[in-house]
Amino acid sequence: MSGCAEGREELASYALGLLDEPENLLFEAHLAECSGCARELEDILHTVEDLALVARDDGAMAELTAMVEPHPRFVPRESMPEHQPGAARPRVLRRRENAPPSGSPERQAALPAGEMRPRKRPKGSPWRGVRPRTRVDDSPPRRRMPAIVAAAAVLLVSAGLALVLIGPGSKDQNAARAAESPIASASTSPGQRYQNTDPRSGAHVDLVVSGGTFGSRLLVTISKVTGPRRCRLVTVDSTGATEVVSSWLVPASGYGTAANPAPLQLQATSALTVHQIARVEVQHVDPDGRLTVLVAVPIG
Amino acid sequence: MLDAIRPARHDMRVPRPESGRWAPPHQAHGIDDEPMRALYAQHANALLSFVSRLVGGDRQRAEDIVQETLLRAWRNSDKVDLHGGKTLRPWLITVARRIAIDDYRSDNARPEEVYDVDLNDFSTRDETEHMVRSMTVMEALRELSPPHREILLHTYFYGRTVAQAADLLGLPLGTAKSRVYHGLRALRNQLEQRGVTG
Repeated sequence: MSGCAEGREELASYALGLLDEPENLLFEAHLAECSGCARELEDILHTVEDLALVARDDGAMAELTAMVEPHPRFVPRESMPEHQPGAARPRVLRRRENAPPSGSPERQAALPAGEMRPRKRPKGSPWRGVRPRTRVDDSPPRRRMPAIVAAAAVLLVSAGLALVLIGPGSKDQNAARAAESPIASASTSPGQRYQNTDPRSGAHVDLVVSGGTFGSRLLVTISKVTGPRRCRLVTVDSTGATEVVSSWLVPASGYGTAANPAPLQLQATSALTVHQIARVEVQHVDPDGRLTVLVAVPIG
Repeated sequence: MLDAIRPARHDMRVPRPESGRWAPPHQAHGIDDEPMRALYAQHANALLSFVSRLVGGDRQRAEDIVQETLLRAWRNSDKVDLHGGKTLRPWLITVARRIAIDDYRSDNARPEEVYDVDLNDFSTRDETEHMVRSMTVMEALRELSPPHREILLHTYFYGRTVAQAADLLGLPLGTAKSRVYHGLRALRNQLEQRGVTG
């Protein structure tokens, strides 16, 4: 609490991006002269970073909106046009941590990739430590899930399907997370996670679906699939209409099998919004083009 | 309701040069060349490596943020001592950080492209972590007093200025500003209690 009395209320509005341009410039001028405000701003920006994550999480936003008394002149953010003309500038390539194309001079000019965000997770798990878990009696009480997730859970449980949502991470994970900037490398809302195992084929899919104004993004991990075979990833909407978003060949050793323990991890985008996707399927395509569903994951 | 939308805040973004060469955006905006060039020479590289980490190594985004930050310094040149290297650097870092966070909040217009990623190494760590962290922040928001929660929702989350939110909620402007500040501080305390210290 080191901000000066005059500056600190302006400070919060500045940190949150609530000021107009002349006010921004005025506060920045003050910032150059007031070390108290500079310190407090430095501190409060961590919290603003955390709020940015909520702002991009559709489920959290829905819950937050429900928590506040509705107001007659209430317009949710989604229904407002972009207020920031610079935000949609084209981006040719969005690189992720630790993945510079080798030998690219542009990448070498930036920080060495390994130093950007050191790995803090044990290797060997596709989810690097944030494992899906089922509820066990001695685990800490489950936090209340966003309404949207709770509804999905009810639907899925009543359909006799397994839905496992990730719980809070361990202390170590929390510490590791706290050390990292949450604003790094993602351009969609954090999304919801689903998984399912098909009782017949044994195939397992672990899926994160997140929304953006382009539609939705699917992060898919597939295991217990034998090969060789041809597969495709399909989104299905509520009318049953399908869209193939990816296809690939499974090697003879399969994915997530004894012969090849590594699961297949892939990403796809769909023009359907998160709410329009009824389920995501991994389908087997036989040589004659006939389709069999290896595993289907209902989306709440 | 359109008139309630707040004006653009980032009106100073300058188009990148066609060549892809990173250079001070001087001529285009009638900016006095020399101080701007000096700012770039002295601070651009350090700022770029800082901002690159903030944005997960996205070079283009980092360059845009650095450019805007230096322009802001230049615009404030009557107050900010452009030649005082030691005092200017922390100012630049903080201003760049705020721009990066704000930029992150409002950018979800494009799918993320990851075609240069080795699939074997690809992980959804960021997404799952963001989701877990977002849940923790939601817990903290639930613990806020209703007025604090309300003002944060009506300003930050719905993209209104404090003045617009004050008008909407029937509050004096000073009260609304004060609530934004105390709401944010209360949230910070809640998050600290949950071990999220940033």
